[in-house]
Amino acid sequence: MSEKDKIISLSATGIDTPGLVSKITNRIYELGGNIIDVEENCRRGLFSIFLIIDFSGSEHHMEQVEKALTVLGDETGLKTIFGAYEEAEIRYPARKERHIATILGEDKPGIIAKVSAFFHAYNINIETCKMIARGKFFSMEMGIDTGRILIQPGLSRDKTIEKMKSELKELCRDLNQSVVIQSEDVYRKGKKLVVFDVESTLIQESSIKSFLEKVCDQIRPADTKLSAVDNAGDSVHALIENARLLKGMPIADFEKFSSALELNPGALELIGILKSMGFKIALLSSGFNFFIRKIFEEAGVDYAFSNTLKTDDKGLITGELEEPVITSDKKQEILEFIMRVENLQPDQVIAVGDGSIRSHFIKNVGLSIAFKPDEKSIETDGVLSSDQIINMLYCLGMPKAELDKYLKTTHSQSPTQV
Amino acid sequence: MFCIQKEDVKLELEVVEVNSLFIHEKILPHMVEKLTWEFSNLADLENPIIIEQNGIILDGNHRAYVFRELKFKYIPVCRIDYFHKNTKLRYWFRLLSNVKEMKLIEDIARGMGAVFKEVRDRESLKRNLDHDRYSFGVQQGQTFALIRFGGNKVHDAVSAYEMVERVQEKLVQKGAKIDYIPCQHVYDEAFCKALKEKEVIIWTPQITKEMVIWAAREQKVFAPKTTRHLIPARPLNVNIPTQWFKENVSLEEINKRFSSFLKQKEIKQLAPGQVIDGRYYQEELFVFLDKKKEPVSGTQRGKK
Repeated sequence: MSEKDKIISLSATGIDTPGLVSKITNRIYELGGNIIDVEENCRRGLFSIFLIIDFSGSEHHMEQVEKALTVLGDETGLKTIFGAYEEAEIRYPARKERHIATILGEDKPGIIAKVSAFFHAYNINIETCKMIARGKFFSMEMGIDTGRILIQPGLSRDKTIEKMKSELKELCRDLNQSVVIQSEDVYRKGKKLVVFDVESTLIQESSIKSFLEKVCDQIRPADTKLSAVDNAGDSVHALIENARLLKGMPIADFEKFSSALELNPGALELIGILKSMGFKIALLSSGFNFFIRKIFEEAGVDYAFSNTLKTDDKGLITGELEEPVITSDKKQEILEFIMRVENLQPDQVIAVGDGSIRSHFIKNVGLSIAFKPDEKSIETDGVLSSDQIINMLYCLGMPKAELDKYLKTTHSQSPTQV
Repeated sequence: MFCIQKEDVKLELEVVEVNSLFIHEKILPHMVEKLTWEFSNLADLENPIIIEQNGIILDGNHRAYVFRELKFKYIPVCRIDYFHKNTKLRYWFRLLSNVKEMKLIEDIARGMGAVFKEVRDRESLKRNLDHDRYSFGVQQGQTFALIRFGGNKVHDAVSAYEMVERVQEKLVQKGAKIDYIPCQHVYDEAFCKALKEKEVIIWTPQITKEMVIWAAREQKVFAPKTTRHLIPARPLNVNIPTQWFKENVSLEEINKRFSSFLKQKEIKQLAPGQVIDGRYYQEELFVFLDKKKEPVSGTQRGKK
């Protein structure tokens, strides 16, 4: 390095031991250098640091600096590389558009290679890449910059980014991985509310139909078997029809049997962890409220909206629903209502549904996650294809170790079997 | 007066003098402490207190008490029809933990001069309590018993609850811990199954609405956590500035202000059975929201 190269880059790697940062930075200070940029990492017992240092205020010759830094490498056992840093020669992208892509699923060779090749093909720069979980289960968070994305012929920049996101989801589906991609400013912005479309996420819609039939079988004589209407379309007709079928039955019996309704694995633990992270939780359902009440009583949530069956003085179901009936159209209205009560903007909301239009009832939320979507699903920020809804915590940047710690305190099993 | 009416349910919202209201239950000091801190720091009164036609407080005894203590002259109320078919009087039962055996309660009750009689089952206990409104019951596992004091100690609904309190106090002195549970929990099989060996439930006296009105008129006060009123509907999220009640204004003036404050809000009606801010509401809700601000159009923006 010559005397004019007063700004240098220094990288050092090696075995991590306590005091490395202190030794390096103190030596730089003694040499009269000013650190103008730094990034340090420790992974699996290995240490790496990258620094940009300005020695223009130093009384030392650059030759002496170079020697001293070489000695530092010998003293610390780190491999050091340094060189001149000419800011003018570094080409910054015209614009930075940071996104965070979280990929999770069963580990196998080639995932990182295929995803990084995909980004390369789009001329997307991978700026950071870190493993959140590794083992049988794999979760990786990539910080990417789409500032220099190759604009696709006939498409605008925004449409190109949309196309890229859609193709990334396809690639991850082929790799049997879940993926969530979100703009970094939205990712960083504090989310406050997680809203679950209950039937598609916390409980299985088909289980509600069979639950109603099972309970009715126990209450009514065998010759009057009930065949509940599948409420897959969230239609008012299906709701009213099911309410009508239950006419004359004691509501208490349904409340009593509701404990038999199975929740998806990890659902209660997920709510518990989200609450301890400070999120408000809302459940929206077009089902009957004894299901929701069960979740409310077991997990405690901040908001829960569902349909209530009217009963007479003896507690028998009248066959009618209390107004206003909650359908998918009403869900949007109710979510807007919660946001007004909580004074929240849409980008502070995380919406979890099954990827269908009816379960993602509000646009422009901060993060939309489709849990086990079918092929006809709408575009969401992320797709969770495993059975474990609790894995959505990785999309919020929670490392596996921390998740395990949370689960240990709730005496639950690790959710990492995908 | 601001009125919400839907079918046969009517909610009348207005401001009244705090001293015109009847507090019908004793006050819990820790609740007073919390509310005093909030209101002396001028936290909004989230919701009007619920009263019946004669000014008896059905929900909000503590808030009214603290308003009175802080020398606020007025308080917003929501008046409902106490005798509406959906206004129901329920009770708080006591869940006592760390009670070794029923014998302990029997000894305490007998020692205080009560008759202690074991009954066959839950239904039998319920029948007895329905028949004799001044007696109360105890339940431990599958053992049920009825406790009845003589007329010299229990002669009305208020004294019946006083004796419950005294039995309770003696149990607490012997190391029991107390919690309050809604009365219908004793019919919840999952809840009953989950009861531990040393847990006892006290079934409190099944008093009537008429008894509550009588006690309020007589200015007699029930033990804390006596009544649990289920009401047909409730206003929510009203958020009335408590600063108003420190001002020296007339009742007429403050009512005008309250009415116009409510008219500026948007009301969202919700069916019974919803959870809002962590609380389950069995009743229909009328939630007050600040009206959405309309975006200012280009032509309006420049106007002065």
